[in-house]
Amino acid sequence: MFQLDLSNPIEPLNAGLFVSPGYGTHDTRVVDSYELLFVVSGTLKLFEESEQFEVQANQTLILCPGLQHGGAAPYHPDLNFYWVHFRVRDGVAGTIGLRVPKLATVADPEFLVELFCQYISDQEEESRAETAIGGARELGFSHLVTLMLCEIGSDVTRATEVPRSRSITTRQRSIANRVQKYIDMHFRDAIGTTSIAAELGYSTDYLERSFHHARGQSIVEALHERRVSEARTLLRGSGRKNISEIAFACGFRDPRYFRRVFKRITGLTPGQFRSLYSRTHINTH
Amino acid sequence: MNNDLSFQIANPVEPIAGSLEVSDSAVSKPLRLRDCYVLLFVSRGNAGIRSAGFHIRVEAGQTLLIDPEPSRRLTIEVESDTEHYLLWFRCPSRHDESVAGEVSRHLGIPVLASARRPERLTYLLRRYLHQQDRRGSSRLLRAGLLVLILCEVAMSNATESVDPPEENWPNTIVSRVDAYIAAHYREQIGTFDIAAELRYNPDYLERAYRHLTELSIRDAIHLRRVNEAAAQLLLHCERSVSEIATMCGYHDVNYFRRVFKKAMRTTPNRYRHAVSAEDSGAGRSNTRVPA
Repeated sequence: MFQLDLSNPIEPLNAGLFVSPGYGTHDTRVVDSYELLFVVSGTLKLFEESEQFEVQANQTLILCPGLQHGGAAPYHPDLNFYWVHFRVRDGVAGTIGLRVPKLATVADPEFLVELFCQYISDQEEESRAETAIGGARELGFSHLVTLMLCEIGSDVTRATEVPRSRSITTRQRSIANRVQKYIDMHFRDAIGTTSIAAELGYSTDYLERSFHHARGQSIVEALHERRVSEARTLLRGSGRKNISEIAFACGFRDPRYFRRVFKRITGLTPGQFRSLYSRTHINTH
Repeated sequence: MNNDLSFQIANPVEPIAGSLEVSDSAVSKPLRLRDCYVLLFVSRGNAGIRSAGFHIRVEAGQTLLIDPEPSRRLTIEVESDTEHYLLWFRCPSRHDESVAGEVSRHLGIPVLASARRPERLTYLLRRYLHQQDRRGSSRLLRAGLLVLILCEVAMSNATESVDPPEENWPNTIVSRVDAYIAAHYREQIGTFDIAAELRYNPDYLERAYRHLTELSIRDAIHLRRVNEAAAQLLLHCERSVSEIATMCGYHDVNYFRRVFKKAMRTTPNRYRHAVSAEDSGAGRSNTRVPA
């Protein structure tokens, strides 16, 4: 056995996914813990003491203990947000300070969703287990929340990091952006480099070279990433689509090919990926 | 408006590097330790760690934690069609800070373990590599992922048997027994405890297990303990044989010696010395500074 001190001041209480019932307003209350909210869709309007916050999709808000907060408007019908309550303990040695914006836009929302899903799935598993799974699990929760805070907090430092410029021209950047937009809109259809080039009015070679220069990846890779990202969303969800249906829904025409691409990008097969999120917990009030 | 909040967070490990290696054919090459701890996770196939005279086999779904020992020279051998992850990290010692009364939570991480949730471990390792490859990646995020990976490995000694699928029940019995052994082999457990825990008749469980594995449950427990002990003997030169025996669930060191000798055909001390003697003859390793 190797002993490692994993003490962590962050002490989470519980987490969940809130799905708007389409009516009602957030309670006005004072709690004795921090609350991290992460909006996935819709807009959440809250106040804390005298400040008003409008949290959009892919944004997070942290509410502080001891301050009165509540809904500033009725729940938006499309509103979905993840929440986690946590406390902060004193007296833990060897910690470092982390600055986290109260209201932040998340650089990698998919990652944050996955961290929440894992938290919630573990929480459900823990509540069903006949005997407690023990210290490692408890520390796991605490470090999961820490990682969420790092993801939000480090956002600032990451944005200031200027990518090593390999003299990407404005033209190449704008071409890459157009391709990405086209992929985002049409990845569910049978598209490829050739059809994208034809649609945008460039030669395939020129388009491929410009995109590659600007992004450091080929158009097909970008397309695969977009499709796999969609598949991850579908696999995380509670819908009971089977793997082939998901493959088709994401623009793959051959489920076996989908499986291969998915495995290459994520390291897991679609089935294994789904098993990461076997249990969820949803509240509507 | 928009004032930042400040949190104190744990920072127990320093991530150095990570890699994923996929090999179609068998490969053997030196494993650079770089003065770091190294975590090996085999996600497919089989790998082994060899030093002059010893060999630890790491199978798919297993992890091995190697501690920094500059003079050690290790070779990693992978079989064909194997996929494995390696993570190098350091643990800065927190000297003077550990005052009495401080809230400290030490986590025990087994040297050789079967991952409780290999999918989760793979997911976290992939995320780590993704972060590492990213331009302007955050060291904090990598450190955070690394800690979660270590928690995940630590959980492999706290395995809970999950509900088995109805099909292939005989294998389920074996895997549930193995999972229970993996989680509790450091404790005083026997066939009866396992049967009670998994709600089987002990005689039936014993027969079913033996029929499928050609091992008695008692022998399976010993094997698990001896494997962990053998890994620790080689990787932890500072620990005495009786310390290792206790850690592996044997309270009587003489009994441990007998069991070890029966399984390994040599005594724990000879096993350790045979290896370290050959090791020192092999010369100093070249310790490299990470890139």
